[in-house]
Amino acid sequence: MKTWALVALAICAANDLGEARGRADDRSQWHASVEGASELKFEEFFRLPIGPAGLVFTDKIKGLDGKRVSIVGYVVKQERKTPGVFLLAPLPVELNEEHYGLADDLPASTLFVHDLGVQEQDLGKVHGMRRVTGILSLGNREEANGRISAVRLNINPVETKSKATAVTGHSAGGKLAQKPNSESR
Amino acid sequence: MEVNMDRQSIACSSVSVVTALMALCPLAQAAPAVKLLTPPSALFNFNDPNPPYISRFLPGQRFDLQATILPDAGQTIVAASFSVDGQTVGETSPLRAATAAGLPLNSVVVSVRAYANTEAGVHTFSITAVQSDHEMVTRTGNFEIVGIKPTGLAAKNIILLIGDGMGIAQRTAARIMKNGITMGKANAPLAMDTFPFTGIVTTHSLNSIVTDSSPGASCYATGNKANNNQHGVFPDSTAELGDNPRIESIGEFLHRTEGRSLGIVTTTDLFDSTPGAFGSHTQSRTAGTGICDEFFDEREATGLKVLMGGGRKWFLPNTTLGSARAALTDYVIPGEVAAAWGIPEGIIDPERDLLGMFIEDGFTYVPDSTSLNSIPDSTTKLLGLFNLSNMNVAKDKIDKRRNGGTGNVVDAFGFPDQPMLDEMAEKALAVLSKNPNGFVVMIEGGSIDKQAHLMDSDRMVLDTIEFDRTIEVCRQFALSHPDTLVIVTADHECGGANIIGASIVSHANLLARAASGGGTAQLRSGVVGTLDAASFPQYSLATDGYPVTTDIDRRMLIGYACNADRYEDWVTNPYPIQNASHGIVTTPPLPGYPQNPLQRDTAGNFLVTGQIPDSIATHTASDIPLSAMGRNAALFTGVMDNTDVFFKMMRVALGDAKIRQELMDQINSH
Repeated sequence: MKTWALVALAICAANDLGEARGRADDRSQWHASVEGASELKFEEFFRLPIGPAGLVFTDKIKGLDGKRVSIVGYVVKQERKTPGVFLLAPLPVELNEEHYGLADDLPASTLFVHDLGVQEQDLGKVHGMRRVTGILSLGNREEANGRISAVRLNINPVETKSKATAVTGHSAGGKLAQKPNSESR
Repeated sequence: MEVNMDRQSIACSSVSVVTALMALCPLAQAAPAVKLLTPPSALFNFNDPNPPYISRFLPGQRFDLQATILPDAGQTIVAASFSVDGQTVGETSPLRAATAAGLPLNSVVVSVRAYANTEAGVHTFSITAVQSDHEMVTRTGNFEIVGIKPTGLAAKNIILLIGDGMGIAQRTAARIMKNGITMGKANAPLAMDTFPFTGIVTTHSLNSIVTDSSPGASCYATGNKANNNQHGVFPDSTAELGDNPRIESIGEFLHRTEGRSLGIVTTTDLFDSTPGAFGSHTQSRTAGTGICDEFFDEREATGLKVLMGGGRKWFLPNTTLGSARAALTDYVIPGEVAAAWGIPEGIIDPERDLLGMFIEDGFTYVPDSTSLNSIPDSTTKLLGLFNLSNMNVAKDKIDKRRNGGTGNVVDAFGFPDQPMLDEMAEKALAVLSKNPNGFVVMIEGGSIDKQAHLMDSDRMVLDTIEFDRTIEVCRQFALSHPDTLVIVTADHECGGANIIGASIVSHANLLARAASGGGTAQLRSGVVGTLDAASFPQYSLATDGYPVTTDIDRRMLIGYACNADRYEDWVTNPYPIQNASHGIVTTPPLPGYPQNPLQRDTAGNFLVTGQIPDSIATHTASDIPLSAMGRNAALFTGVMDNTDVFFKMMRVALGDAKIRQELMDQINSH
């Protein structure tokens, strides 16, 4: 069984233990730092407030480009899954690509997590809040699924094998939202 | 995808060829079939030639004729032509493959683009097609040209205000909260209440009793029904987004024939259905890159001069952080469509700097309220992009203005200085009124709907108040510009919202009950006052025109008939539902922002079970109110189909000579 599948099973088991609404003791686990990796938060991706045009990277994230970082976020639930890539967002998001295409509620600060070990069938088993650790890369890039990524995290396959939980699962405090907000209604 | 007609043994599009082939046809053993014929008609679908006629147009309003033809297995369509009232019309465009799922591979689509008819009355139209073994088919539909004699007194300016999702209850709730009720009488009317003429509008779409916002707006923009998720077009049988049969919109028609300007103003993302329907044509309301590109590419056809709302993410090149532009949501238009309609073909170009192109074209760009307030008087073209996606709602914008500082909701979303809709409307009218030929502007209170979806009652009502303040701005404009018609309506109702009564306890008591976790026993029993017990909730207004607080003692209570499961404690929600579309929020765990209505107000443990299998409420099929003032507003009374609103607006805009006589007849009949 692939490493990722083992991780996914562990994550599913962890989910079963979770209570629907977040608890302080769970949150302390999410903030546990990872040895050898810089901690990054979604709010540290871009400068606030937003200026008259696009977004601007913060100095902190620019300083981490190419380095090993660790971050906590919500795994985005997608109808169209891409092997080798999953999305991590600062809030629960469910994408209905079959109906809405790429017009969605995906945050600009979404992290594209590249992991060659991730298979399409595995992605459907992963829910909720997760910590991921890997090498950060910045700059707009069109992904294989047509989306534009600005921030990516590459999980080293070697690292994935050596560390059983390159993606570590903690109870996310419940299911992903059933549907994103009503932008498309 | 276009069919290579060189493979066909006989050229298409030639009426003479069709006629010749028809003469050769043997007695039919089999024949091609016509699966779809547009404009849609009951005559084609049900062999019913009687009114109501599904498709109607203005004299001279352009639209496409189109048919989907399914040849027998092993055959190909070799010739096809359209006729109207027995006379062959137009030049048939090259056959296109019908690429929609489920159709045989040899299916084709044939069109006559940008057809127009100036003769009032009901017309029949037919498609005749011949397949390669000479078998043929003819099918017939009908449409109506609504007669208008433009020799009367016209309204130079048309202001259409759409409260998205605003049914009668949203209006009532706004009146109660804004002005209050004393001994059964409203202390003051809403601005929309002061309009002298009122009607009721039915809202069904072409394919459902329950419309979504695309056909809900398209009916006003084109005078015709559309399928859900589509606007400015009739449905077709191809997968491509930009090739559907088009219908000329109000902006396009009035700009082409009268030289008037178009304005689009909204509180939502500009690609959203309602604004999109007034400046684009698409079979996919979600194609944000293409819809926003169309605003610009077809500005010469629409006369677009003002465009304001959220949705900046579509205007930034995909190399800029925050951009959402992608090939999959972009658009192209077949050459035949572009040529016939006189518009660019469009291009897949996610790298396009759309914002830069607007600026280069002379649009004054404003990214926030401060810059909007300081535009020079000489401004003739205005672009406002105040958020990456939907703008924040009235409550959260007002909270920022009242509280200052940086800890407000709008600060967390990264856009602390967003204008109110009434401020946007005032600037839009100032810019548009510079055109001596007049203008049409659609101004949308877009988040009334979105907050109704989320069953966030206070945000829904406060956005309705913001919308009413916008209506007052427009009313004042019309009073000083008597050649103006102002229409206030909605596209549909949302949520099945209604005022169920009022709390019978103080706010402090409500908070205690909400904290108790006592569920139904605490938050329904002993709290929800119906009938007499509801009495008259008394809110007080601050100088900014909004309630000092919505958390008053004995507050108004709102329920939802088209609801999803939710927890309810009746207290004003300090945070909106998380809206990821705004891009930046904060790091998880989020500081109080609920994920959905099931993650909000949970402490009270009062679960209201919904009736729909979704996480948020949705639209209803209810009729909606319409109010009208200004020139010939008396036309807008009674119960009318949503497409009637378009024809009434256009009769007023064009100065239909028959209006005066009709109104006199109405008076005399009573």
